[in-house]
Amino acid sequence: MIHLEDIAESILQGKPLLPLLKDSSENGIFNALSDLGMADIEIQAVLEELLLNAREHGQNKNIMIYMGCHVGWFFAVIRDQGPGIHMTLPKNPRLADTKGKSAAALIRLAVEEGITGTGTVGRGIGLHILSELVSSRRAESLVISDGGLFVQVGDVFLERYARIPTDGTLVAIKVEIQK
Amino acid sequence: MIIDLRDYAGEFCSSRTDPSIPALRQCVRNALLQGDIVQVSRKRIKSITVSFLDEWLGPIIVELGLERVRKEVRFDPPLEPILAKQLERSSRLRTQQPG
Repeated sequence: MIHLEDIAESILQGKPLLPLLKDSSENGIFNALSDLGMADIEIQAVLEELLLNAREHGQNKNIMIYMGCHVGWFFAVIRDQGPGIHMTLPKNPRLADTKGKSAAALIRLAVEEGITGTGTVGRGIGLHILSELVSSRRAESLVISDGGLFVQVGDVFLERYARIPTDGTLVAIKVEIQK
Repeated sequence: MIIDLRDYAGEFCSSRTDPSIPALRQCVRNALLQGDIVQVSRKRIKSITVSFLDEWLGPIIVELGLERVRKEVRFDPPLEPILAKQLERSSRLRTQQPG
């Protein structure tokens, strides 16, 4: 069994275990999911939301999407090379409690509903619906930003330092393929 | 009233800045105010995001209420759980102190 962190680290080390999509757009995600036999509206919606995050918060810099299946599990990774969650989240003027928090704790905060780097009403959706998907399926997610790593397995959360820090943000998901 | 999302937004109803959203919002709002039921067809689109739903229906939910929008705006096929939950989330996030 391949672990999600191994997949994330393989990408950060430049030796990805998953194929890179040539088309990192909504259509690219749709076609890749179809090719993998994963016509799943909820996964499509979550991946598109993460793509929107990468475009906006990652300043549309070098967005890479990786996707593949392995022994009954679907894997996807979206990586951007923007400033990272630790830089965008504290810009929200309504979030007074970001000072002194670790990079992993900031990622944990960003996963909560309505928490966003923009401070705009209604925003802060992408990482939160990823968390909801992981809670509602047999699934895992992993977010690396700066030196922080945040993992969710079902309803269990883990924060720690990343073994391989990254510029920008990397979001990875693993979902059991429904038969 | 029937709205075919493909006619407004194309195959991917994705970004909250999609230029079709103001017209879609106005269309639904007017129909509801006239007492119409709105049937939204998703049959010819490939995807819709929670951001798109929030930007489109969020202001109407605040104005007319969550229950009315749930009852009178009907999707075909129905919204999947993560998407359907966005209507409730839009109501909550738009009526409470944002984070």
